[in-house]
Amino acid sequence: MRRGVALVLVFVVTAVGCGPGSDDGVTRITVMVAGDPEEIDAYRAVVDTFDRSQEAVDAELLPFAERDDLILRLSTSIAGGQPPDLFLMNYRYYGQFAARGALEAVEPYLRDSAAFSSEEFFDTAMTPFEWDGEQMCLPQNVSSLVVYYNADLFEAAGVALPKDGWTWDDMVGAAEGLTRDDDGDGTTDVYGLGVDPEIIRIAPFVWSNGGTLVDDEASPTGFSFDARAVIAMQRFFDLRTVQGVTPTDEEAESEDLESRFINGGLAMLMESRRVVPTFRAIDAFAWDVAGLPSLGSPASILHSDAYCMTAGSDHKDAAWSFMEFALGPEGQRIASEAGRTVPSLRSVATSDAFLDPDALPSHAQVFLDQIPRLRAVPVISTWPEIEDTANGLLEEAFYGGGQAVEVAVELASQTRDQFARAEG
Amino acid sequence: MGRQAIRDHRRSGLSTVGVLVVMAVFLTPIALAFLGSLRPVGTSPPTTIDLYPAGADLSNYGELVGRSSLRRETLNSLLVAAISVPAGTLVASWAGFAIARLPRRAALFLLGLTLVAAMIPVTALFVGRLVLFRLSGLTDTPVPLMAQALIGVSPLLVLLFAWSYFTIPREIYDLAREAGLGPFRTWWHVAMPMRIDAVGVAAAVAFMISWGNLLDPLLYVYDERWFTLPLGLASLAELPPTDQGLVLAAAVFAIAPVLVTAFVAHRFIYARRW
Repeated sequence: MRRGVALVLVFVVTAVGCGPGSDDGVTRITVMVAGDPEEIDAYRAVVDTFDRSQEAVDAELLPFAERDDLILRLSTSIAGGQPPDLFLMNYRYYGQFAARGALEAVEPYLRDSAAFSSEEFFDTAMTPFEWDGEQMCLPQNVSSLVVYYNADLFEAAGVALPKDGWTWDDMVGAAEGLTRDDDGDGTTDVYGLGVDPEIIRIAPFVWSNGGTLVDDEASPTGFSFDARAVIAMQRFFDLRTVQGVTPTDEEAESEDLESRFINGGLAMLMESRRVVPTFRAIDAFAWDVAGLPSLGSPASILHSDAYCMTAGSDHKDAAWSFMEFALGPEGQRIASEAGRTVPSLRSVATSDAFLDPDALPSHAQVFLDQIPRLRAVPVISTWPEIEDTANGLLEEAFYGGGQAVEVAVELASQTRDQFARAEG
Repeated sequence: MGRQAIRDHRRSGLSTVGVLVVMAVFLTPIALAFLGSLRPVGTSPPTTIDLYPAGADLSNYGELVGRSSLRRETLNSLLVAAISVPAGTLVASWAGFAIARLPRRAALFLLGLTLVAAMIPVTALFVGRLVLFRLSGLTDTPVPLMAQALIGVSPLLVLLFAWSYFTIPREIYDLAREAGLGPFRTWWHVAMPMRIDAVGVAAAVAFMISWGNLLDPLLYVYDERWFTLPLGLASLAELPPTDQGLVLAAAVFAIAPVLVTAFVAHRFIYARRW
């Protein structure tokens, strides 16, 4: 018993006395990230390599399983006066922190950097991270929405594989040809397409059809779906209610789209680069990737995360030195090898680190071809709330047979206050 | 057999059926989690109810044991529990005893305060607690994970002890005072031994709170080395659908100590004539 108490005391004393804050001349910085274990492993590899590459700065990773956890932690630590030095966040979510003045603009650091210049990054990824005319954060990836397809199912159904320049009608035709009930029991065994009814999934088709999402892209005051946008939205809803080529609400709840694709129950899946590490483990069928079909002009949506520095960081120079490494050629190459990211640095994106001919998907070039067509949703402080509200309405309409005209009106009405409170 | 005996027999039968139904409700998910945990990593997720997965084995448990991060998180959770459970139970017991021995009006006032404390939304305390830990220089340590022991883990445990000590007849406290025992010795030699069952229940509840504490490590730990098991589980929950067997194995692994604790608490609950 006494030995147990002694061990516990030793633990506490050691913990308090030898924590990472102990002063030994090395500057310690904290980097917050969120992601699944494979993604975290990739970030850990970047951090470990950085730590080994020099002795002045010791970067420590603070990983979280979910983005919401990271946002909760970040908000609390900023309000409590002890923010991390750096964090990684999607452009749709960082506005709430920029609006509070909680971020340090990286623009001056970037201007003086010897490691890289802003021209070496894809503009498409840089622009959404500008706040009040300054480069606030620096992107580490430039992913987009694409179509993953099961090539074996296409071949078995005698349907032509998706190719660059295909249209919405091509996609619907293919999805109809691939949707089948093998045993005639009234239950669909293979669906042609899987797509989540979310605003970031519908937006590219609104843009592709020449429609507008919001009234002013730079300073939006509300959703503003014009006739072309409503047509695009209705065609999206028709996938479920008219063509029936996507799983029902119950089916999507009982087996998520990613699992259904892995199990061979889905011929096409609209997703970002996120699923590649999981799909690389598929050995039951051949799969590849294609760009989004168009409803007029080609368009897709940007998925990009950036490292942001907090205004409350006591070690901004050290934090910047980590950013230079993580976003430089070596850091991006390490992150890219995990398969989940499309590098934001042009030189790495066009190298074998990303376009490895031996790694799936075979047509990884599709992600780079999409870049000139990418557009971003508005970068405003209340966008996460707006997205939540919009997704609830869209899901209800998609599975419940809603009419796009009514949904557009309801979307504008229910998000008016959220837009009114926005900064950005 | 008399009518009374028949009624007793029926009542006993109904009681057994009730217990079995309740057990089925609570044990079925655990049994399903265990069966699901036998599905090897890399296997396609089931499309229908699949009680016994093809290729079922215990490999996921081996994989868990091999994960150094999970071993460290488990050890951290055990160490945090080893400190916060006894310390928290002790503090709650002292607080409850103090409330029980105060004059009626003061006791009611403190009971009211404790009830109010129990009703404060935990989110309202996030920032204040972080500021407290920051000013104390404790954010790089695991101390914030054990800090709840200083308030008796939960106001509910304080209420449990207060109620428990209230039920000791006043004459016994009077006898202790006449024997020359001060408050601390009265608690140690008289009140606490008489309510050792409440100590057992409170310790079990404190363990379950500590073991399942996700928010404190999420909010207050700045060093990954001090992450605890709930954060490890949250991380594993993000694994792809093909690795769900591993996630369920981790869930079973985390539930096991709680089941043992619940069993121990059950013995204390039955020992007490509530």
